[in-house]
Amino acid sequence: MATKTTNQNTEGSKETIIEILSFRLGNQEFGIEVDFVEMVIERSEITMIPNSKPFIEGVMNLRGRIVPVLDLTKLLHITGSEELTFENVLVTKLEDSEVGFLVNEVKEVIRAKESEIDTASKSDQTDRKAKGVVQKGKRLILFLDLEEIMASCERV
Amino acid sequence: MSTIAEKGSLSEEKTISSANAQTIRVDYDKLDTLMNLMAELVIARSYISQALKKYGIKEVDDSIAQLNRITLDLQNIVMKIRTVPVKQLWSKGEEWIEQSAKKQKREIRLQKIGEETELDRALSDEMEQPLNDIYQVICDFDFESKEERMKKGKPPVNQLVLQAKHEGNHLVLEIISDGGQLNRERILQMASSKLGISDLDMQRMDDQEVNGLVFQQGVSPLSKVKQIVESLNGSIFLEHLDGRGTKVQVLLPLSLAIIQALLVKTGESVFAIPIANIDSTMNIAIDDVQIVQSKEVVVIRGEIIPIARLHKEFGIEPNVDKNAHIVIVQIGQKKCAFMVDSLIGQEDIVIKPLGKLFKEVDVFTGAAILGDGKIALILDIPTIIKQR
Repeated sequence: MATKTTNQNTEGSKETIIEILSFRLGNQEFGIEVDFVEMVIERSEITMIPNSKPFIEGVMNLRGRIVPVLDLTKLLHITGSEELTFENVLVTKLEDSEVGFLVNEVKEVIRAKESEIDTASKSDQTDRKAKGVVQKGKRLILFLDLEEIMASCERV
Repeated sequence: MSTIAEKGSLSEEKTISSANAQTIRVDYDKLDTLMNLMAELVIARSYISQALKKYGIKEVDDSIAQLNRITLDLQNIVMKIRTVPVKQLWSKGEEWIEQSAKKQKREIRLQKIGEETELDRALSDEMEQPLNDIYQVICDFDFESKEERMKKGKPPVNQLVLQAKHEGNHLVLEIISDGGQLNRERILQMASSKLGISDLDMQRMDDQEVNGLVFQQGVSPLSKVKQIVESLNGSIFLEHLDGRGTKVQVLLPLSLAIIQALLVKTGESVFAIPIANIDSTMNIAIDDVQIVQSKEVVVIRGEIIPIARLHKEFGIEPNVDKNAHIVIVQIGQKKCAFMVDSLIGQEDIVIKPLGKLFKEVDVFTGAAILGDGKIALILDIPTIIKQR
């Protein structure tokens, strides 16, 4: 469940606020709910698993635990990112399962009201994997649905 | 009541003697934690061992030897704490046996040998349904009616023997019936037109191959049993006792999470091959590789063994050499020679599952973290051999 704090604004209506950790892949920004984030670490050796799904980069040794590392650009079908090398891994935890995602850098926690999530701008390719787009100043952040992403990964 | 070996380090209140056995209830979760910590200890010990080998300090060598001995003892005790007697597993099946027999109108006399034999609690849980399926098949296909038996001069009641024992590194579970109806003809009947093999080809198979047919998908409920047994790193066999009966034998490894493996290297990747599946290792010259029916084979001591080049199987860049290292693995009667770049050595490794995301990658049973922090993928030998 996301961290939601109820905020009473001047018009007297309540609105839940979601805390999103934003991170960058290439020149695009993404976010996931802070509650799912376990840690961010520097990318270390990733062992490839032959014949595994294409969006799986491999597995890594996280203090004695085997954690899969996924490539979001392949999961979300983001083109033009073949040249990217990712320096960091964002480790998430969902229902006791740890999964890492390759990222360039992690930025900051953004607090957004539910109404600020623009669901109309999602492209067909992301479909349910993203909850919508959040604007912060000039930045556009694609707010991802981690639960949906993991569910679709296991379905494939 | 089970007797747990005493070592000096066990606290007074837990001292157990067979004359006055005391037991306590322990949360299964706590045992799992203990098992995991034990596994990490094995890894940490490897780390230290590896790091110190570089310096060759004699005093440390003695301490490391002692640490190894203590770790091994600890490992054994933790394994024993998790074990339960097979009696539990068998009594759960008794009701099933009675019901199956009643349905088929067969009378059974049940005999149990070795019910104090210990097995890991997790194995006991996993084997409950498979055993029931085995009993079902025996009742349905192997037992005979009273009339048939009396005609053959057998005692009127079908005998079913359940036997359990430890042999080497394995738990051997046997279900022996003195029926014998599940013979070659019966199996060929069951398998007919279910496997895409012509009846003629099946007639040509030797007894062992025919016995193997009964475990194929679609032929009998035993195919599910085989899947489960193999997922536990075990194996299952059916044997005819010369018309006097049928024996189903299940072999299960005694230690669930820690196995001895041979580490091999191909390209930059390290793979682990369970020692239990290895027949031998050797060097061959690349010229010794021959092609038969478009497949690469090598002849070792007169035996034709198919070759699997690991780098080709897994899409890795090979280090081409005039000589090749091969590891010959064996499952049942089938052998296969894995060609690798080099052999690293034998290690105790802890099997860690890869997780849900890798469920269709069936060539690996899991991964292990090595002493240097690298990850080795553990080859699932039965699956790889089956796929050839």
